[in-house]
Amino acid sequence: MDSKSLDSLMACHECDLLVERISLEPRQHAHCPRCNALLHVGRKDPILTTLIVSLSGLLLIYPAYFLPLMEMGALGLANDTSIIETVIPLLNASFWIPAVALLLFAIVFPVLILALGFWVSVHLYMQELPKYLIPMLRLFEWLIRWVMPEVYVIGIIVALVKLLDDFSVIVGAGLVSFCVMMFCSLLVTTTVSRNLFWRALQHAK
Amino acid sequence: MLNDNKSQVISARAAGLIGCHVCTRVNPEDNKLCRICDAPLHSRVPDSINRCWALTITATLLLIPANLLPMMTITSFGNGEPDTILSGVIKLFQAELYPIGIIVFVASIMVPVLKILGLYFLMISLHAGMNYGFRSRTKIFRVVDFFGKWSMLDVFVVSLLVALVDIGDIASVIPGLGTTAFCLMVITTMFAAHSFDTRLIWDRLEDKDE
Repeated sequence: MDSKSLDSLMACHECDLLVERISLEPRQHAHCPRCNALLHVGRKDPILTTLIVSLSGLLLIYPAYFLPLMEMGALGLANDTSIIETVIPLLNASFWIPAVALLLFAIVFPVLILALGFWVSVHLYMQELPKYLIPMLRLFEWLIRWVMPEVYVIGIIVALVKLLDDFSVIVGAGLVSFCVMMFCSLLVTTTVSRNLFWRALQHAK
Repeated sequence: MLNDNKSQVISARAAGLIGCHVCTRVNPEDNKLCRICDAPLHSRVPDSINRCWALTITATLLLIPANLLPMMTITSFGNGEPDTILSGVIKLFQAELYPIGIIVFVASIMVPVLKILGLYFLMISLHAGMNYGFRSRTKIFRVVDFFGKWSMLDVFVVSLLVALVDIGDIASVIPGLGTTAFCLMVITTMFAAHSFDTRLIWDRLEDKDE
């Protein structure tokens, strides 16, 4: 079989059914006819959208990670911790595993997703093929399984509600920017329609 | 919309092809690396079920310390008692924080247990050669895979409370060993789910057809 007819096919990643590859209109979804797996989603300008969303997320790194999350106090004493500093007490208490999990899944990976999304989309937007594009896209696919921005944001809300019971809490700029940044990161994992990105690569090859 | 002509229902493997798991492109079966993205190709994930068994059993064992050891101790003016996951949820309900109590209960008690039971069911169904319920078993896997990371919620909440509640002697939160066990349990179940190959469920359908 020549590569042209190979390119007209795809195998469902969940049941291995051979299906014809079709191009979709924006917001159309293609499901596997046998197992109903979501095969791909049509997006309008996926590369440009990824570029804009990942850039917005990256601009928020400083406020999200280094400004105080909230000002919390009782009896005149206060605590203003930033996201980066939330890892330190766990490390001090020698809780290495939870500390590293928190650092990777909720702090490092979301930024890596944004950075990779930005890097890849800038190059594809300018129709360039940088040297490490393939390993970067593969790293991106791997990161998608391990990144947990939405879980951390819900975790912050749970912690906040618990604290409101006993303390006075003033939400800080850090918390707001962190939530927006996590939203951008989550959005990038969905806008990078892997089908379209890999197709761009395929055309270039 | 897609190819739903019955006579053409054929898997990539039966057609002598391998679908790349990274970029979704189809390759001839003797390719070792994907022709588009250079990822290693496997028609089926190697040792999928063995790895899944090993990881799921490990996760089941970790579930015990994760639930018995304390997650954290909240002390206020030097007083406080350790909380396990279950006693933490009970305290949330006693404080009438019902929505939060339900979120924590679902994420840290229901999800891990159902996830592990779901994986056992899927693996046993493969060993037993179950040849019905293909779609529903694939759906079970999708749910297991999707909710996997939500169990990290409690670990994140504990680390936030440890960092935020540190106001001199008035109040502080000390993490407990349960956090480590719980964290390991979640990571193990995520690896277990990633090693499970849903295509094995559907292979049975083709064996039946032949």
